[in-house]
Amino acid sequence: MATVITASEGIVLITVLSTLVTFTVVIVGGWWGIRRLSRHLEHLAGTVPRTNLFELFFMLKSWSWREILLTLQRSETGKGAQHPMGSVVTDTPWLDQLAFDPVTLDPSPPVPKDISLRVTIGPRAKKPLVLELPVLVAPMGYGVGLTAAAKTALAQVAALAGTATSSGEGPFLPEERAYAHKWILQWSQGPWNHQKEVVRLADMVEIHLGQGAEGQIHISRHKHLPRRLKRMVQGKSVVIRGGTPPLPYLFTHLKRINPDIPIGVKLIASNHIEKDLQILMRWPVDVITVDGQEAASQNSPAVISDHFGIPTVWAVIRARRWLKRHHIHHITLIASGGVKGAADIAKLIALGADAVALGSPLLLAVSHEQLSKFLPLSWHGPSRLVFADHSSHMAARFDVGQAVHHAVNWFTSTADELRTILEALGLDKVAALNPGLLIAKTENAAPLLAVSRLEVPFLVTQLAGLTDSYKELNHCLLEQYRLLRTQKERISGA
Amino acid sequence: MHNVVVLGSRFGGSATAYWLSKLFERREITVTIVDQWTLMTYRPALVRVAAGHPAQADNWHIPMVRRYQRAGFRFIRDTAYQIDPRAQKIHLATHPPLPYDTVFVATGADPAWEAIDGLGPHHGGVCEDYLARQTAYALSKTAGPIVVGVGPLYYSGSPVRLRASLDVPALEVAFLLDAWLSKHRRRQDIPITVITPACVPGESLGPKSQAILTRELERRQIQLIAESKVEQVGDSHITLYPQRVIKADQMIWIPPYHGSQLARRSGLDDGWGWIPTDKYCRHEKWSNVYAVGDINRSALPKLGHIAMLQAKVAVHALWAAMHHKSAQPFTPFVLHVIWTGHGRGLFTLSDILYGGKRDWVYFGAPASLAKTAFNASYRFFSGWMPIMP
Repeated sequence: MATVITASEGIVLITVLSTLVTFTVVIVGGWWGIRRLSRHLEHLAGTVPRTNLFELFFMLKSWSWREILLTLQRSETGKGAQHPMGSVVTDTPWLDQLAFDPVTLDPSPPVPKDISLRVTIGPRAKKPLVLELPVLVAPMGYGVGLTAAAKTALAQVAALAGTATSSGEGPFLPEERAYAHKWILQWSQGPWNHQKEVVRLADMVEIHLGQGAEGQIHISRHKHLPRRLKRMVQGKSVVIRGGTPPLPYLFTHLKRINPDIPIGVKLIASNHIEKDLQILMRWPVDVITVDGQEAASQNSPAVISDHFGIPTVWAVIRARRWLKRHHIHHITLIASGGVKGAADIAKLIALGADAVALGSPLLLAVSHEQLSKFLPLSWHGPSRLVFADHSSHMAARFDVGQAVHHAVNWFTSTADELRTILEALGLDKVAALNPGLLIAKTENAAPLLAVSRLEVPFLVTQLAGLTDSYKELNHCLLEQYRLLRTQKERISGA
Repeated sequence: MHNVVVLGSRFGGSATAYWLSKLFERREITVTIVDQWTLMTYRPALVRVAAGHPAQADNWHIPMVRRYQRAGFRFIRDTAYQIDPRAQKIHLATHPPLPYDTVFVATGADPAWEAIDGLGPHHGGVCEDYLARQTAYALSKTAGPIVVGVGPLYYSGSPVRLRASLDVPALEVAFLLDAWLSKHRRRQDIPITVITPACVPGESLGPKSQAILTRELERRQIQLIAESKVEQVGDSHITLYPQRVIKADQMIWIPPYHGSQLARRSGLDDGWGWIPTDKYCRHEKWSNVYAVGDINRSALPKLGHIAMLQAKVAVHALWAAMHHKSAQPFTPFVLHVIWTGHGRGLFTLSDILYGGKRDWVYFGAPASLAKTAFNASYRFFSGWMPIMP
């Protein structure tokens, strides 16, 4: 006998069934989603964290939230960054352990009228580089580092900020040269031969002798190269050779092709920087860039970037001290590596740099307000927009206009902040910054200033050397005394 | 086959390529176009971008490469460094030297920012997409005086007398800015000044247009400082000779122009950086070198219309030489429309500058519409319009 189901029972049955189905779907879907998410996360955790969200972890290890938020604020507003709730500098990067000594009643501050940030790079050259502010776009190569769109954006930014941009280790990009008002050719050991014409188009040439994040090792890349680069290397891997290029030949060659422009060298900040400088003085060097341990690179091996070299601040102090001691005043010293904003720039200049090259803050600035295109549907990090190691459909989503606008804002705010620092110090030009204006906030930082204040360095280093020798001697004497005593006790015991 | 190379792919270069594709059979010539950009920036529209519309900058990038490829031309993305007319080769930055039988040089003139002490692209401009875009962004925050500056033109003074590099776009920006600021009710707080080395506004246009421009500048309270000589440019001021300082919260510059480095390096220039040519746009010494557009000494004023005319004349001259025919010489005249804002424009067709008597002028909404329509069709057809001037 067939069972008759009433309408109300039918509704109840349908409701129960649909609830069960929904519950099952949610459970299965949730389980499937969590499995997929975990698999994706597990896979991501094992990949190179160059352009995925895990790069944020590494960024947050070297950058604080404070620095990231202030950089984005500068990119957005184009004004000096501000924050409430007092000082938040509690971590211990070298530069944050230093502060400026403000002018007060003694000495009373002069009132600076027009504060000049202008700086001349390679003043001995016939055609030196004159920059509107002591900040350069750090070398980041097309194809091996950044996309063509990102390079083009940075060239436009440099022109609009009154500064120079650099080719980096990558091949020549015609658009970059066309947009950049001042363009530095970095002479790398890549497979592309920089023809004479390229050297003649440059406003400065920098010989790449290595970098803080990579040392002097060779770099090889064979995946995800831009099409133009693939054509250049005829489908083979790109290998940037390591080691030192033949410097005597290179200097002669470059000077012969373009004798009027400054020739620079990019050095790794090593613990024997003075010896490197001494060797470099054999050739007509106009500019020396010291790339500190904190420097970043797209392809840097962790064992190099985390465990090699000395911090930028130490390299600058030691290089400037060596140059001054040898009465060499015509060489421009550029600091690079780990610089995040105007305060860092001013401190490095006070410690001896003439200008500062930076990349990471600019990459943050050009990516500002563009990351939302990816999130929350993908796991790509901000560098996916600018790094040249992904498929081309991502590159097309990079808005050059917006990127330029934000990076120019960053430059404007940095210039404003530098002027504010100079005003608080009663100075009217950036070149007047000196170590005497700095104070050490920690015991660790005290030796930085002791070494950099040139009135005392010789005495300080002599004293430090004497103390070390005394300690060593004392240790040896104690050791010998202990041995003698032991022997005596043995003899007497026997 | 005759090997033709076109250097540059903006107004003059793309028009040259157009006429080469129209006049010659594919079996007659091989054409190679060399340019630094794969996208052409349509510069006449940038005045509107600078006057408060930054987002429009990317609308005026025209992809030319596909157009060339469809015509059977080869495109090389590179920087032309030097032309060697004896060896008939072009030295490029990253490619091997490029041989040619005939070369059309349409790479334009180089801005001479450094000719004025302190001046640089960071002061703002309108002649490139990124300059116009950034100027527009900066103007949205400007609360003080705006100065539109025009640099001098460095040339031999022949065949016509002009003092300003190009004052027409400067006036156009000033008018459009006035309209934009009025629309946003900010105009009463922001004075606008135009500084130019020219004696009259629109020095390349005819007297009727100059009279209208003078009247319009006065009516809209845009100050004009004519015959000015800029001594120095600072972050927020301009020093004029003798000792007059103009304050500027925001500047927009048409930079000085001093010819072309490419022409200088190649030894093809007249001593001032411009390529001297005959009435067929052919180099005075090298008959297989043609100069089209801004780089040509006789392309004065530096307007897109002149470049298009010269491209037509130069390619026809080559065609005539190869087919033993006669060609029409270059007869210059100025054809230009200035957007003056509020939906109006000033149309000028004049040859007064070249000693003629023709001076047709129309001021009103249809002129503005005509310019808008021309720009739109140029973009739509990627520069190769069904009817080319």
